[in-house]
Amino acid sequence: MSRKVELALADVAGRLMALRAQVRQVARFLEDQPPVPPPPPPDGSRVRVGVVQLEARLHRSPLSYAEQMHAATAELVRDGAQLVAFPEDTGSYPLFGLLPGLAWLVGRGKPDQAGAAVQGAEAPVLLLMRLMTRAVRRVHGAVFAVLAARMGVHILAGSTLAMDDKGRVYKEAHLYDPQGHLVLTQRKTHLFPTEAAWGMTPGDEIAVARTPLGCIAAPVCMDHTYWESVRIAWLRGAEIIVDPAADAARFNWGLQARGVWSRVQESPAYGVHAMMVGTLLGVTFGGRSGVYAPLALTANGDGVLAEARVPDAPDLFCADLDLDALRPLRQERLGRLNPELYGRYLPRLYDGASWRASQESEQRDV
Amino acid sequence: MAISRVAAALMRPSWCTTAEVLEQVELLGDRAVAAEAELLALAGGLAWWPVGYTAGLSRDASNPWQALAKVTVDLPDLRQRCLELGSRLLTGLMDVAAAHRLWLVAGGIPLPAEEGLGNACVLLSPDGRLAGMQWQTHLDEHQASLGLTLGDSLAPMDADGCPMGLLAGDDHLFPEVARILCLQGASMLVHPGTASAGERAAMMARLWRDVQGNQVFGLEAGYSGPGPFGAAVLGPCELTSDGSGILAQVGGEEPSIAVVDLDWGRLRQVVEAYPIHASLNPALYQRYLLDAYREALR
Repeated sequence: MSRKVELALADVAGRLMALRAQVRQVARFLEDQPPVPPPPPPDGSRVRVGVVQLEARLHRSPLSYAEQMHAATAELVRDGAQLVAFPEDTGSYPLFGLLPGLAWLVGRGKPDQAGAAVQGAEAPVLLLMRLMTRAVRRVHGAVFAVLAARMGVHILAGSTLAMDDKGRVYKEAHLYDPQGHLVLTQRKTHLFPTEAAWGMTPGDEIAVARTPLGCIAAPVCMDHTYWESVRIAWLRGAEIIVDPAADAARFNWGLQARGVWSRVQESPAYGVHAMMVGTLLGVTFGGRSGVYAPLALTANGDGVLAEARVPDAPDLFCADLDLDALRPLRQERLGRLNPELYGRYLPRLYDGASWRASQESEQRDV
Repeated sequence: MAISRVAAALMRPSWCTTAEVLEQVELLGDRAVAAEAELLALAGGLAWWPVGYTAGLSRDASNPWQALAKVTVDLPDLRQRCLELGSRLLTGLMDVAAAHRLWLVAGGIPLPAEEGLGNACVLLSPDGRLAGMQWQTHLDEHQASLGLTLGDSLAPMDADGCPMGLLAGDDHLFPEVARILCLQGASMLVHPGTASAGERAAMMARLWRDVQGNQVFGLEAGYSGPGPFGAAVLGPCELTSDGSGILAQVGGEEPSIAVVDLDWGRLRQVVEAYPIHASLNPALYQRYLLDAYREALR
């Protein structure tokens, strides 16, 4: 099938899927829930952040999805969370269940082999994403905009999918403010090898949102393996750096500490790591969500302010961030940078290192 | 890669004479030779110990840079004294390298720089030559108050076919340094550190991050202290059965060394499985990174 035909079919089917999104019913359901007392207003100094270590669940209806997201958010807001963080893929794969016969399609006629096909990049994942992007964005957007507004809270709603007019598919993190407005979109700028093999496209911007809580950024998952993405956000003022993540591996502290925990040591900020756990379409996600800080700002000197009680299983927890304590560290580190040195080397050296990445990108675009 | 067995030293810091510094280096060199190591990474700040001693600092002063800055900043002959003691220590270290037939890396050697006094890391060959030198490129306020000048270049140096990047002083806190060295081909990072042996997290917040972020080997030397994580040989987490990325480490109050055989073949496999440098997003960095520094520092 030519790419043009594939895109046209995906467009038609995507519109049909979007009709199944039932966003009015979703909004009505959320508005009918008992009210939750809103969190304290921001004071510019302390922030209580709530983290959702989300169970990966395949939802066959938008309502069951809304129910799961509402329950997690409400519990954290009851605990005083002013910012609630969900993991990567919160607004994508769990909603693929809206597609009838999903496992059959992914496993190419063998539903029990769906997981292996996804991880081996044999499943038609990109096609599936193109098909589902419109629908999952509608449901995800409706659920989190209403939740944020109803509960008067900022929500980093994990990531959903985005597709441009050329059919390129991205992962995109979304931050909603307490009025329900989308105030930050952040496309994943460094793909996991499997995602690259599926044919996804990396983003090319790093965004920050200046909110009453503080300056927030949310590079997605693998972006935190590369200090550059977090450095750009930090240099632009980010004090709270959320890492919405979904790792297809069981928890290991060493492997996990290579991400946002490491990044906030070199770019002094608070790090909020929200992880997906459980099994979806035969793929098992794991990890231990945490709220991190420079070592000097943690009681045990371990850079951890709070963690999920258990790894690899669902959990909810809160932590308090002291932005006043952070600011001197930030100023000290900023004052020691040597940008002239970096400017002398980095543009040229990145060019040399990137030949393989650019070749792959060209091949993808052909 | 010719170098396979390496050692990182845990040293007991003290404001002491050059002879006493060299005595400790000799002891650790003997142990490295007994362990058949080809390269020994020593701690940082070494030539500053005699500088502090001649300035009258007490032997057990903590936070060396702060103490040194307080005592010495007004000394009229500071620069001359640093240069003399730095040069004397360097000569002594060359003799130790030659006597032990070891590659030696040492840090905290004040040497004359283009515009004054610089703080250097040095690589000494087993025949006692100065095989390479790396100036410190980031200073804290205490170091700056001593009149040290910033290094303005970074380049890997060769040790028996092993391209090695040295990180002087606090340069390991700035990920730019390791990236620049590794994109120029460094496959091993060596940091003559000055941190006291402590807990795992403190170690992971230092060179460990750079090792993971660039998929290279790392040697971090340090000072003795109460914790188990002082000096270490590091590698990508995938090279360790517990996923820690710590190939060997020593801690505690006594001088000692951590020794490891580097498995270059396995390192290559790790890089091939997921080559971080090939997955960079240069267009993103080129568009935003340098401007972001300028904006932040405006």
